[in-house]
Amino acid sequence: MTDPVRLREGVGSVAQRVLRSADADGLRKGQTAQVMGALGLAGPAAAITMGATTASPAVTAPSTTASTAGAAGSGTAGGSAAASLGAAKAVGFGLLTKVLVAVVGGAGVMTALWLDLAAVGDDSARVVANPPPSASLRAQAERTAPPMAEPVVVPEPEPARAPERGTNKATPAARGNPSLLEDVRAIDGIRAALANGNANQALSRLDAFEQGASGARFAGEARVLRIEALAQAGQLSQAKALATDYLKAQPKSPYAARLGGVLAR
Amino acid sequence: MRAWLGQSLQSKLAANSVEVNHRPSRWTERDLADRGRFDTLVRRYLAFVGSHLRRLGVRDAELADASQEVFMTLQAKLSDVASDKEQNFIYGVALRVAAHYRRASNRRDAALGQLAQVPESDAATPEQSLADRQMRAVLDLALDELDEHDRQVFVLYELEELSTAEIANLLRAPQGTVKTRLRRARQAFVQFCNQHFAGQGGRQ
Repeated sequence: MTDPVRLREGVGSVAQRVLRSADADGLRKGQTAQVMGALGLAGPAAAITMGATTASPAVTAPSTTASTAGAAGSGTAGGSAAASLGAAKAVGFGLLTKVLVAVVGGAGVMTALWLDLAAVGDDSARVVANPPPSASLRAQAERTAPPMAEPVVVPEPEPARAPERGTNKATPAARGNPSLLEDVRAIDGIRAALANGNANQALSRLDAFEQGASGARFAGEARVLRIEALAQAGQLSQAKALATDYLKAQPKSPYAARLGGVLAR
Repeated sequence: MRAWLGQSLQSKLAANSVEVNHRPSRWTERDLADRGRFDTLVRRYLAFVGSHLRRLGVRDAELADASQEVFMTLQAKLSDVASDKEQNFIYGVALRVAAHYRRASNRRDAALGQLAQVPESDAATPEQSLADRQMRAVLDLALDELDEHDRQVFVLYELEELSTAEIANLLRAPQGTVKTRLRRARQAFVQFCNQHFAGQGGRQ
């Protein structure tokens, strides 16, 4: 019971030409930036390019950087249909997530470090494909050429807590990246200040955070925290003005509920 | 008195700090981890979701909105999705979102009395050559002709290059059904393409 040959393999056929016109499908840079912003994610407009990842499980892990993940291979074993989804073709599924997951499972801090450092280090470090990508992947890669997005934000796990519901919650990667860990702790400190009613302390911590922040990793969250801190400190009109601006720019933001709460005060 | 004050402050904080998915105002490591996971998933899958939605027939003008909707759904359900099920989950959400957008835009077109003869592919990507855009418009028309489920199978097989076994797993349908739909869709698709170009007398 083999599958039929794909129509796009039919050299010179009309159907093939028509199907190939879909190779360049996808979000353009502006659209990508719009979606990233609306999802409250900071960083360069470029999402990860799908291009140039390989089908071959054996080679993806060492040669790819975390930041360009052409995406995840399924973690399940070969027998499952879902596991071999697309074999990296048009959708560029490599096995990077498999590696990440394995690392998250505690297999090797060093591997996580390697991935993370590679992501943090060289901007130009891109995915190195092994088997040449299919035409559709190549078109994708060329269309979305821009520099890489932020390194993966993966915080450190709480040692006492066991993994839940089969999901892997965190990775040791944060350990190898001091600024990431610092950012996470800084944000936590700001939230703690707010929770204790110390709005002014939160605001000064926010100032310090924004001066020292590496990249724009928590920019959205920091902005919303500032609005909340201002509200708590009694500067309601300013808080509301900022909240209104934010919601106007990003009406479907995940922060909408929090900002709505400030506006309702 | 102090307890009363404390309480009122706490509830004020709670009211202002409720996040979309109603987590407590103080971030736990789990919140950060979920946040990190979501961030990773977006960066990993955004390009794929964009192209997949487009292939499923979402129009360029709605592509950003539809992509956003996929990820917001993902975010809301993230804690229920195991790591090794993420791809399937995203595929499933994309299928539903695409179907929703297609229905909505078909209704709009019908209401306006304008069933689009040539989709707006022309306007969308000026950097593409005219020939490419025209070809892409033909693809849209050809796919529009297909039954919705047949089209999904066709797109997953011919454009996303999944196997029929993988598609069956994804759509939770018997593989035989998938193959039947694929056969029907391929036949209709090839026929449409041949007719379209034959009708143009070789002009492309």
